[in-house]
Amino acid sequence: MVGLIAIAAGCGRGQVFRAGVLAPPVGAPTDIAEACELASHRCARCHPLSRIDLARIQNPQHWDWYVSRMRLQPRSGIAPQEQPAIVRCLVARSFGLAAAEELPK
Amino acid sequence: MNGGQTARATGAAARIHRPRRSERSRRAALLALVVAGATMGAAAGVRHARAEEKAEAGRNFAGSIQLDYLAVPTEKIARPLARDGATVEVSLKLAVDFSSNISSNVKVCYGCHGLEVGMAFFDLRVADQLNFRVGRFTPAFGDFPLRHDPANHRTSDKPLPYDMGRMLRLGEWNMSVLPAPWVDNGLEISGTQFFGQRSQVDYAVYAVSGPKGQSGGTDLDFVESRSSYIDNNSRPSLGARLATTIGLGESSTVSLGGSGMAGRYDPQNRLSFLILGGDFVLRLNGVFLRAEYLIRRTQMALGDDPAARFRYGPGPDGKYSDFFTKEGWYAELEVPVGRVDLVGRWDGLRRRGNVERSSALRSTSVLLRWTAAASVRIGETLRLKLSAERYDFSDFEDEIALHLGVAGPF
Repeated sequence: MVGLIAIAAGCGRGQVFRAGVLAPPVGAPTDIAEACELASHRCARCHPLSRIDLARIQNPQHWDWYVSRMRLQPRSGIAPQEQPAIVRCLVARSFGLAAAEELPK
Repeated sequence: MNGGQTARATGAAARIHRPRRSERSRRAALLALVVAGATMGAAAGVRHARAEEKAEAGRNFAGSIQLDYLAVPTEKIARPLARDGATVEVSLKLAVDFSSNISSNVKVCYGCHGLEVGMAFFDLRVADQLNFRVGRFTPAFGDFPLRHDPANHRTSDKPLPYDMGRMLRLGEWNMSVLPAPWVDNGLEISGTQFFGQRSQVDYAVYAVSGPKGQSGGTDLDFVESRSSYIDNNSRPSLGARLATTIGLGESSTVSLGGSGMAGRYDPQNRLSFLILGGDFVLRLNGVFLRAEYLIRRTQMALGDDPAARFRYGPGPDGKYSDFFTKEGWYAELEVPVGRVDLVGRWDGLRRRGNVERSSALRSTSVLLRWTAAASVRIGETLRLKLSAERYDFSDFEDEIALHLGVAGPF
């Protein structure tokens, strides 16, 4: 077990071992790009990021409810104060930057 | 057993185990407490939902498919000891968000067991720290069940403590400690307390109908437990889970958890079981190190003539032991390298206790397994899963198993 932890620690530091990321929309401002990086880290904890692209989301509020439900999954790692940023990223990807700009930061 | 026999048997059981008035009062008080809590929670949820902007409920339809081919090159015909060849696992799920704090999920699964309802529940979130889940769901136990869906884990099969029919010699071992996903009917109260942006504590307590077994049985009957949607003994099984996750960085965490579930599994409400588990998950960016340990203590019916039923005689005190223990564990390292996730896993099962004369196991039987696996991302959604496994049995010839599968969400 100690050996496995050492291997995991070594691998975790390496830049080559990089999980997938949620790409922000083209032309996204810095805060949306950072929000998408945060969403990538949190969402990949439990499921592949492709689940996000496959989700049938009807409107921006649906994403807010959806993330609220995911946030309270055990070990989600999504703190309450992180939810608005994650929702902004997902809304920007689904409904465009203008829709994301209308959301609270 | 015909209807008359069933009625007589049920009547006899009721006479034998009719609860005392004080027990009935306690049960009624507990039920009243739960109903009161659920009602208050529902009222709070409805108020919150009304306060929200009236919007159309969000509906999301999702699912996953895994087709896996299992080959056992060390056997000419492996069917007697495994469900080899091609198997498909399909799940279809509808999630409806009525508001930010009320949602429902319905999921049906198709696999070796046929069509089953894997989820059918309502969630009512009064606060982060208080959620009521009512219906049919997987009660909180351990870490692996959180990612039991084939699209959410990297190997074709599950770790041995949670195996549900893909292991070799599943019949002789009567599967695992707690086959995942364990699906049951009942009520779960759970919650999460966040500490800062990186740490959290999760808890859950639940009452479910519980595992089922035969009258006078010697182990849980997983087929009946899964396929029967009604309680077999009028008594709930109770369970709880407590877990903590501590942030080590932006995308690195360490998690520790403990779980337990207990109750009785036979129709006469005589035979008890207790399952305990501990889990550890270290996440360093995309690298995961996971380890879990489960143990189940299961009471056995000795019957009128234990000497004729069991292989081993009584202990030094002249009495037959009426239980066995079954342990399961795994340690797994998952490392992403570009489009490939590499997985190394060591897992095992150990059963200790008397066995029926017809059993192929002994008083102590052990199974150890080593797995090397790769999960290759094809496009954005599909994964090609490859794995090689070496089984080391204490009671049978060692075996090699090879998996080739394709899995993905939709």
